[in-house]
Amino acid sequence: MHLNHDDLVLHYYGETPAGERRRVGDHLAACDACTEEYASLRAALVLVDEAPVEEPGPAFEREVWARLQPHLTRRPWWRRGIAGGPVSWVAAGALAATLAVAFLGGWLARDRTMTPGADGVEADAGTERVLLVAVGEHLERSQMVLVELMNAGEGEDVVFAGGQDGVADLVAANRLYRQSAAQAGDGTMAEVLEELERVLVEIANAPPGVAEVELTALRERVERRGILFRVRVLTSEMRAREQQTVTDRQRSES
Amino acid sequence: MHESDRETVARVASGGEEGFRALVERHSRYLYHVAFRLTGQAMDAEDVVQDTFLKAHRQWRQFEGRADVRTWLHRIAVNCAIDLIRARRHRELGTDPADLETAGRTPMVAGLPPPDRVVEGRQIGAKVAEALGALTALERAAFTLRHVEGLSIREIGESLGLKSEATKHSIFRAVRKMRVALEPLMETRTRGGAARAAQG
Repeated sequence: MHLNHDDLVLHYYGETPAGERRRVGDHLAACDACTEEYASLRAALVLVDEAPVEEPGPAFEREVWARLQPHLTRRPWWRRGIAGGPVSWVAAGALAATLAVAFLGGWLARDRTMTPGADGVEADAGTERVLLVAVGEHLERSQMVLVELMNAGEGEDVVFAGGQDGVADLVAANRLYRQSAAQAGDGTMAEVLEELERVLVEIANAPPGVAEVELTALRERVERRGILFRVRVLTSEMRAREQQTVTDRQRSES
Repeated sequence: MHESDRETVARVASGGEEGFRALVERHSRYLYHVAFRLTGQAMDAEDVVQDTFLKAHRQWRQFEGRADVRTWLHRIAVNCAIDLIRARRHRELGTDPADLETAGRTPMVAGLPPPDRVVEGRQIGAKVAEALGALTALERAAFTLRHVEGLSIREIGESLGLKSEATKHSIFRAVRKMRVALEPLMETRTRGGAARAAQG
């Protein structure tokens, strides 16, 4: 009996089960049809090896460094603020809270039939874009908190102070976004926001001089649950949807 | 003369930020290639590169110069990419199991250019990228980890949280799709080789 495609793939990668190796080897040595099929498989996979990979832009290395460098300084994150600069957290929190109420409307609006040029549709699209920007910014700020948490050097004098107010504002905003997402039936987003919120709450409520062991446990949880990556994926989706609203709007205007 | 990795590593170990910057500038493009092959998305690859260096900086004491620094960074990058793929998979399974089979899939570009216009190099890259783009996120990750990274099926299963049979079938499906997508290019190559042989 001839070898099938899966047999040949396993043979190519040296993953044929030990008890089958001799049979496969002997058959390939004796069967022209299977030898030809195997050669064809190899030829396809060689093309993959030969293919150059997409290159990032010429300034890629500098850009990577520019993004990294603020996170590599040794000053504790809570003394630096979040996102590398002073933030008006009271204003940000108030804005987030206001937008969160409207957010539910915007969330639901995305499922409406969008007829280019129809009355009200452009306003909906504009509102949705503003909401997407707000949620995206919230996620980016939260992401920075997580990155700073993960990047805090071991053995540093960990004292949660100052910046915790900012994290507390993020918790408040996050709660509203999460509730809005849940009410709008977006269980996936609500779930990620819930995971995020638990971490933010722990940071916001951590006493001054929190033990390193607790911080380590928190980091492990973030890593084990993939929270940082899930927030990143969500942030990317927000950016993509924001871009889509711009594209839709341009299309409807042309 | 360029500084060697060994000298740069010594500078990082002594606390020099410039030393770490040199590592970033020397290896980030290579790590981008690794991450892009696995994730298939430029933005994801950029995130993986950034997270790789953040982890490397945080875990610097674990490096201790025992391995080649590029090999060490490569391993971190692969793990970061796997984490990203797993996190996405977790999300997608939470929404709809079917999404896992379509995530990361981009529409196939219809039709190949006529055989006589197919040239080596860049066009092969474009066709392979197109073929990889037609795989699901899981198929792409399993295939790339096996084909490019050389991980065993068992290791891939452990990394992606799949059973052995599921891992195998992801790879089988990926290879089958790649072959179908690359078939016209292989035919062109075969014809080109035959023509050159006839002329010679």
